[in-house]
Amino acid sequence: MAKHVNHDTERSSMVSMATPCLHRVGRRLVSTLGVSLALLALVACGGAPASPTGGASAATSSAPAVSATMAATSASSVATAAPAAAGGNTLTYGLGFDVDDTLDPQVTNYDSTIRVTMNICEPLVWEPEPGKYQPALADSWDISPDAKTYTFHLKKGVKFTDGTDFNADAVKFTFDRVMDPATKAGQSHDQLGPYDHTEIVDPYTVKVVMKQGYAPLLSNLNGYLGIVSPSAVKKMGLADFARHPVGTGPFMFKEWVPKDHITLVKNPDYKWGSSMFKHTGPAYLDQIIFKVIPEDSVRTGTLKSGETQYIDQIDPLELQALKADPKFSVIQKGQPGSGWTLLLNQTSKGAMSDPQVRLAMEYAIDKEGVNKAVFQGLNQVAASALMKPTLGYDAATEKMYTYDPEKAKQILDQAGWKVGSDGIREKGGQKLAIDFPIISRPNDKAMAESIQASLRDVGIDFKVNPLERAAARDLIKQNKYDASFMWFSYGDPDVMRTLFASANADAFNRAKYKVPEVDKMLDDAAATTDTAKRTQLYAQIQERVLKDTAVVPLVDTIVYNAKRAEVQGDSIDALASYVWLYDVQIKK
Amino acid sequence: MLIFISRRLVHAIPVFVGISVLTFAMLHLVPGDPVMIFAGDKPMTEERAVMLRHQLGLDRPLYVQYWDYASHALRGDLGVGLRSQRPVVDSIREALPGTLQLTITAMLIAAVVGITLGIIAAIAHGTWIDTAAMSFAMLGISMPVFYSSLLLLLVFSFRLAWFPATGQGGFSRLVLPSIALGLASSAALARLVRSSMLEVLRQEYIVTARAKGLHANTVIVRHAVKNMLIPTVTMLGLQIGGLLGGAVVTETIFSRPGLGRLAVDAISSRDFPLVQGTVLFAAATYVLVNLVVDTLYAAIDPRIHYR
Repeated sequence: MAKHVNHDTERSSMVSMATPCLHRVGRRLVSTLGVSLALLALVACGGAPASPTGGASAATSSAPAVSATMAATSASSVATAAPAAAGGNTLTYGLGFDVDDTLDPQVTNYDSTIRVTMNICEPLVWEPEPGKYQPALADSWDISPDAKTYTFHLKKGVKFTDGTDFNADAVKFTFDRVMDPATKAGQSHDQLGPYDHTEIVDPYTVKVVMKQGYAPLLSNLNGYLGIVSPSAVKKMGLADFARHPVGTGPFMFKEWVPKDHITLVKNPDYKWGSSMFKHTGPAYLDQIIFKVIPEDSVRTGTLKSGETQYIDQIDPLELQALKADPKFSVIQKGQPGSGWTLLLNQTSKGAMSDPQVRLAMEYAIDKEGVNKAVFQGLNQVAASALMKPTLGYDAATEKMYTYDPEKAKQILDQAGWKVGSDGIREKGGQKLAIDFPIISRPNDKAMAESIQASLRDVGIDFKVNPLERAAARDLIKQNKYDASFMWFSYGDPDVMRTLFASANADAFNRAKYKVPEVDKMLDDAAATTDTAKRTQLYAQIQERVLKDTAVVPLVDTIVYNAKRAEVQGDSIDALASYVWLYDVQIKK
Repeated sequence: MLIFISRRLVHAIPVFVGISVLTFAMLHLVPGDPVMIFAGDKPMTEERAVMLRHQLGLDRPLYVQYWDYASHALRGDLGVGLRSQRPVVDSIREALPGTLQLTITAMLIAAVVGITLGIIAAIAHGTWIDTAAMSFAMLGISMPVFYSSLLLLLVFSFRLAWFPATGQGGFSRLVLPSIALGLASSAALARLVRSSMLEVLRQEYIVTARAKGLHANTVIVRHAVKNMLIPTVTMLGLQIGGLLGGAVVTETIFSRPGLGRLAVDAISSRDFPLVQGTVLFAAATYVLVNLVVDTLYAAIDPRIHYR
């Protein structure tokens, strides 16, 4: 079900504002330890004569790059070299996360990998805004009303960069390889949903058939289902293709120095760009260098110094400075899907089993406080399990619960939970305690502590238990928890099925919410292309899960990328994750 | 000497076996079923779990698994990365030059700066030079690598734009990370060199050398420095471990490819053959470096004979 990486996955695409204190301390040090700097400079001179021994030197940067068309080139021959100096028509893009050791869009599990491969392997459709689709390799498409059969009319005259013709075979090949166990498909496997088979109607028409109605498919095509060259895959084999991907995109793979950079060059024959772009013909940029720069503050620093021109995820502490400076521009966009939420375990044997306790929690948590304390106020308070940009977001949820600790206290009083001597409520000898195992990560801990303080104010003992990932997962698997964090960026409201369908009660439905009526609504909403009907069903579901206190929405996440002002023509997709660079020009 | 080296190599065998057992056990000691760890958060049918367990060879008895792992490792085969489908050895080979370059340069910086500062401080014992050198050493020891790394970046990359902030290749990209990494080691070394030097300078043979009318420099270089090298070389050998550990931080902050980041990324993508491989490799390196250090003793000090 997961389109995007859910919150347990380390390398999520969300705005991760971890360890800001580190940068703060860094700055204070600069001002107070002038002496140390003088000494550092001294060492810089004293230590300089030590020269690198062997390995890469500047000279090797001119080593012949591994070319995408040189299919037979062995994987280990990837050069260890510095990226070529960023020339006039080169864009250097600072990636916040590394790729996960593969550039095969069907194998990867990381959004960051798709940020690179989307320029090489184009999909059938693009999704610039949630629920709005634009032709990519398909000129047009028809969907059966039950969302079971998708017919795509493909573009003609398109060629893969290895010379292979793009046609219905390539589409079928790509989708079928996702289902082939030998591919060991990553996220793409979930994206295809209940895929059954692909029928080749004629060389430029394919019929993709689902086992059940599956409305999210169009949204899912945008990314992990980029079309690959069948002949390249067959010729190279899996491992080699993962290092030399071949698609039809405006850019071609040139070289990959693992954990350092990936270079793409312009595809000179490209003339089938989507009508949503502003120009036709080959891309303006000659070259894109994706540099992997894991540290937020360093990545932002390279943008300021000009070492990069576009970066993922800025250092939150730099937001105001970047916004104020005309040399830079911040790209800010809310994500669709389900934001940070607390899922409340409906099968809990503890105090949580009292619906009044869960209801009190809806009122007791200071969400703006969480946003300020953990995200420097850069995200947005959530009202629904769906984030605001999602198709079918229900604004009526905003009126359901507000932050009102007095009301929470009143609900608990009425339910018979009396404040004990230690400030924690109790009833019939039972303490009002809630077990909350979390993965021990800076963001998760900070959020949990902020919530803990809110709940403590109304007399609830929120027992935060930071654990190693696998240990936390074990507790959840054994149903030994009362509440769990969840975060799930996704292009379609069908994410609600992942989180609230009975069938997923042992997976991401950590509320263990099982309501047949809701199950039916979720299935119906996924099995129709009628947007009005879907919107209406999802509105009902959003209100219902809140009324049943299965979920406490916390914050909607917002992505903050940044670029230098001379970079023009970029745009970011519906997921606020993938950046189109085809129209980009660098204007001096 | 050859006999000594071969004997030490034989002694290293149980150490290697121990390391291999530990790295092998890592996978089974962490909480949770390895197959579930690999699958991540995706729900998995029991059928698929059984298939995966079989594919990864986890359904065999532990000793068979270990024997398979160890005998392959002996032949230089550390398995295949789960995501990349490439031999782990290839990934390590690819990451190695970066880390070697970084640690060797850092080591040289540590040695040059540390020994020089230590000697100067000892000679100028009690003067302001001594105090300044030791204050620097104190600062270097107490400043974590990620601090000094960010500090260096802020000043020399972002403010002054003297050096690029990221990546690998060429001298300019090596300067900042190796200083950041070498700094802490040089500080520890400076303190050690100073105290050993002070002790040596009090020895009677130094007094004798001076009484012979030898030039002050000759006394220091020919007589004193040679004698304080033993503890210094030991210290340098031990620092290798610290440098390899520090490389994890430095490589991440300076966005350099290398073994440290390979290991960390392998952990977060749950690629356990890759984790085991990098750990095994790092541990083996450490053992070998210390063997080299022991051998160096004999070269430095003629009083030490190995039988």
